Amino acid sequence: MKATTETAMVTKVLKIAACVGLLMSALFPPQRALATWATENCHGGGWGRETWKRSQADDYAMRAVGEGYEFGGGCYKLNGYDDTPNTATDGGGEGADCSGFTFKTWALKSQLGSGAGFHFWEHRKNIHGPYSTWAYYDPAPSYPFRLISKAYSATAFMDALTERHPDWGHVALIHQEGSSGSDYIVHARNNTMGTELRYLPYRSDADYRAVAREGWTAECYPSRCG
Amino acid sequence: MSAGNSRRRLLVAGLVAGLAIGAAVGATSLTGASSEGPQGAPPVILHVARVLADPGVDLELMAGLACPGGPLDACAVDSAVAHVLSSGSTGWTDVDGTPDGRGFRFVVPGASVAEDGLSYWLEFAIGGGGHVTFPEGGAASAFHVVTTAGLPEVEWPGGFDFAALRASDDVVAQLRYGDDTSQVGRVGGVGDEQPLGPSSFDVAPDGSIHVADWVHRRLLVLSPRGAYRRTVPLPVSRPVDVAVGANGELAVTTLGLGATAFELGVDGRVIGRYGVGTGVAERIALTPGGPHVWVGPAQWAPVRSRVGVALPTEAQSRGLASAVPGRDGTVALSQDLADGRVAFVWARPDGSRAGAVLRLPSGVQPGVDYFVRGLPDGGAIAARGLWSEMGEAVALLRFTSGGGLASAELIAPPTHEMDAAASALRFRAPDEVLAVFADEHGIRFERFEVEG
Repeated sequence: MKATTETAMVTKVLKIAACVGLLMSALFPPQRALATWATENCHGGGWGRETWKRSQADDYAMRAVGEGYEFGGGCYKLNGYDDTPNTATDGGGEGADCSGFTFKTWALKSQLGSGAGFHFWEHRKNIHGPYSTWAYYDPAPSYPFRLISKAYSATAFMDALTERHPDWGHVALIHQEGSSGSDYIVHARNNTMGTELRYLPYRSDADYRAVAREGWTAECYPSRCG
Repeated sequence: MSAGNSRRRLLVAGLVAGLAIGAAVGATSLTGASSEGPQGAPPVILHVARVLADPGVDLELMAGLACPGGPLDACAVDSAVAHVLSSGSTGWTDVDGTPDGRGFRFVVPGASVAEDGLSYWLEFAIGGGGHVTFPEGGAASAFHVVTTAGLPEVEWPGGFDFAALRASDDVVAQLRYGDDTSQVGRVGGVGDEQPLGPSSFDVAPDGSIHVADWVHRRLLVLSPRGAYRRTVPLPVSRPVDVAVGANGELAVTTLGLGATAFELGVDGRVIGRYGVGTGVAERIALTPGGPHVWVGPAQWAPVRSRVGVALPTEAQSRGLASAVPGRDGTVALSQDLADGRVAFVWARPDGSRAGAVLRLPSGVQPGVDYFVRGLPDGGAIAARGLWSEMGEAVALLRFTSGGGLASAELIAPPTHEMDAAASALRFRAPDEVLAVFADEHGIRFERFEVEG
């Protein structure tokens, strides 16, 4: 009789405790899940490479469309949706921010102003790189990109358009040139929109400058160009 | 072991078990199942449809490509052709596309650009012998291009200076950022996050102002003088654009791929809900035939056959048009041409065609096409963005019935924080323009009477 009573009590305690545990986890799951998202999903690597074409960069950028945005982030899971939607800014979720997205798409090296050459970063590599929007907006001579004219005749796909204000900035990549001061833009927009492809009038916006990466590998490579 | 210790250990064990179960459920719901991008998906065609061209002059068309979820090679586009039907001819001619960047360029010879215009559609050969057409209906829903034949050419009057901006006549309304009923939402504006305020507005026939507050999923309705009237809740996220119909009915679309368009009665009740099956929705217009959603540059898709009955995706694609009538049924449009010129075409009240070709000052480029609106006197008002390396402004243009330029003024560009950029500046009858400007506290609607 005593054993039966104790068994019932144990069962009761276990049930109550489990309920409390479930309740607590229901109240606080996002924080716990977010804290582990990057460490669980971002195991990509990176390596130097001799060549990087605009078309390769464009393919790289377009694969991230539909994924998330993360201020200061850089990791994409590439499953077609934002794994961590509506998370707090800098909350450790999926996606790059606009400058990190440009850094990875342009295959830049992780050391500021480290000259020519390319460094490929896997989408799942959680790296932002050393360049903020300030850097793209006002590049130092040692940086591997430079300001160019905003005229359609001066730009090509995978050049960037960038603006910088005292409190915020943005940098976006041209996927396909449009008209009337607009273009098909691929960019890490913000925490609400994620990484998107949109037709936007950045080119005609007086706040924007055009900036081009230097040293692209010719599209005809390795065939003989001409 | 005491009974108390035993109970505490059981309690801890139960808590750990419960937390583990809950965490697993939480993580699953947050991260979802992993899946790779679609394989063998057809390419998405990115095309800025043409609506106007110069007769007898080569017409250049561009079509970009995107391959959902993968590199462009995965869509295996082998070649592209523009099928062109010159007005007056009986057969389609083919213009081969040449690879250009991430897409194709087509040059329609001037001989095919007849004075009465032409029609065209694009066809892309993909791997395995398949084809993708754009618009989807092919010849049956080809884009129609009218020409500038017979339109007078006018020059920008006097000197041009981006800094010589006309001040507004007055501030009609102001809305502060915030969560109260009569305030509008705003996000971002820190670090690398673009700020986004309310996404668009439209003006009703009675002059009242309807603001799309996507943050709070609602519309704010202001009187013609800017007094707060009411809030209309919306049953969707990201309502990016709003249009008001001839009788005060409303249409709203959400943003992006797979968007949803709504029709709402005057009382704000949802009377129709329609999936947008093609393109990236960003704007909406209410025509006498129902709502049309902007799904790409100069591409408007009908979304319903009658109130409450959605059009299937195929029918939406077949109905794609490069221009749609306004709520009063009249058509007016604008198109940038080569050599720094912009064409404007509108219908006079008697149905005849009017228009003009504006030659811009050297180095000045046409920007955002806000609107062209025909007026009862046969003339028109147009608002067109202008830009160069030196600056940016909006030209307010008043045309006479004969196409003469009665007035041309520059105003400051509206806020760039409205996501439906072309909906940040609107015509308000009989002869004024409302533009939205923003600062750190909120937005304000300024009124510009158009002279002439």
